[in-house]
Amino acid sequence: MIRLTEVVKDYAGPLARLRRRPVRALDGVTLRVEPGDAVALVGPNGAGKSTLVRLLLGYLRPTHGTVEVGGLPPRAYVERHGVAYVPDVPAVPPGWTVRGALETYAALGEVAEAEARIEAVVERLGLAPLAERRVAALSRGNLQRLAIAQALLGPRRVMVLDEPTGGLDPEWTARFRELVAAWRAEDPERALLVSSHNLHEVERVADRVAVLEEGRVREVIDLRAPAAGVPAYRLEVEDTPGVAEAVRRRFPHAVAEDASPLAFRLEPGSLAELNAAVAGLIGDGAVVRALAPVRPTLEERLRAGRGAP
Amino acid sequence: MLRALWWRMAAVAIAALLFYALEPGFHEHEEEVTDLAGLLAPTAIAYSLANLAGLAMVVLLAGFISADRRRGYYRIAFSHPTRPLALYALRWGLSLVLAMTATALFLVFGQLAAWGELRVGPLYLVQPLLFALVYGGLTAFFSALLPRGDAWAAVLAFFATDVWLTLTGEAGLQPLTPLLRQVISFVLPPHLAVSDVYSGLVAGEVLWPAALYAAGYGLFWLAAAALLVRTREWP
Repeated sequence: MIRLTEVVKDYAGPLARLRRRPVRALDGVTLRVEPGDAVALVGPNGAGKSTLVRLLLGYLRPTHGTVEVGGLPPRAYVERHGVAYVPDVPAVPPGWTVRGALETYAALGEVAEAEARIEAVVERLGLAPLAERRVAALSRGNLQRLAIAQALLGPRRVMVLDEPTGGLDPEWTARFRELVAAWRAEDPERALLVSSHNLHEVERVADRVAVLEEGRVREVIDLRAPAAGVPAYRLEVEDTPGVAEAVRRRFPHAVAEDASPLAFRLEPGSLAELNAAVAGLIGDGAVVRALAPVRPTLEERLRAGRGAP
Repeated sequence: MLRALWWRMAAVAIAALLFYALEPGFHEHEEEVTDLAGLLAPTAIAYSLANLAGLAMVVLLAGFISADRRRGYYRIAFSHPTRPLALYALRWGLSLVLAMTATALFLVFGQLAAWGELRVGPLYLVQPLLFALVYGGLTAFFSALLPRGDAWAAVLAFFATDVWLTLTGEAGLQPLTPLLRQVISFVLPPHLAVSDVYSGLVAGEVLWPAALYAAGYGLFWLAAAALLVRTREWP
């Protein structure tokens, strides 16, 4: 659906061009987002995330390499099919009302049954009480909800989100994730690309994460891939007499958590070994409250990738 | 789009009132003037109409591309399936219609207010149409090129042309070399050509070369603006 091949993007004003000193924002980026994929872009400020997003919308053109969306140059694709896009800083003329803005965007996108569609997104984004309010009078969070609402107006197959939850409160951040999940579920061929600094959010929304650093893709992390080996587990037991000793007997290398003497980190050699030991523990009279795999968070994986402690 | 233009249309209406107040041709009455030519003051009225049409285009189009680019309104708007060029062309065409409608209304109501009857007809709209094309084209070009100040650049071009024509015409000065004079006259808005077209129409003939040159000047800058919209990256 989205294909970037060896994309280089240089920024250069006339003087920089004359001196041949352009600023390289992207340096040989290759990335694929297949239909049904949800890919996140993460990376520090200046890594090239926003440049990549603007290339996908055709607002910028690559210096070298190719960018394709749905087999077309980005601008041709957007002009033909549209992209559900939420920018990092939503800019809407301040004199427009919320409903007027949605009507204008629906008209631009030639949305079928526009009135019903507008009512639906107004309802879903909780904008009904603000519908007649001017954009200039909206808070940052409400403006962000308007930006999300306009992105959901048309039946798009590609969604591009650039820091989409900036300004949203925790409740709306959670509802935003539900909206994105519902949008994807409506058509399994839909592709999503989200650029964000919020790693917690990225983990919940994306299938894969492309880590951009200094204009290059450092690595692509597959969040849905099963762990290569048997992961560590966290075991929590009820406070019964002698339970800690029973756990240590069954799991000699168990490490009790500092915060709770009834929670342990286990590193079994295999699933069979884990199952046998847990069965033995229960046989010893212990009551297991919880047993869950401990997977490294995206933040931990990124830090490990950078060699940070 | 019309809703977004209402305050600009109000500004055009105020400009029309000002032009009416300042235009002596509308304030000459039969008891004060003996000959018909003096009564109608055709050239003066025609120029007021032309200036109104040109100014209306500048006011209606001010920032229509540059503000979108500078303030980032394009980001959401053009993520929807729409062609920027088509949208701006529609806005330009709508502005031309509004400017000419305002000019025609000004012509009709100006005469009715001044004299209680219509003494001149649609002939007087040719010069305004050419001015609207010229200044509409220039404003569009400046709007596509500059981050701000497009309307002021178009107004500056108007006054620069007036100064240039006064220097080289009435004042009889011949600054710079003949080639440079020719280049400057070619680049500045074709006020003389528009004036020639009007004089020809009053005399009962159509001066096609002058009319095509004036219209072509406006359309050239309009095409240059379209090329910029099509080829420039967005900030």
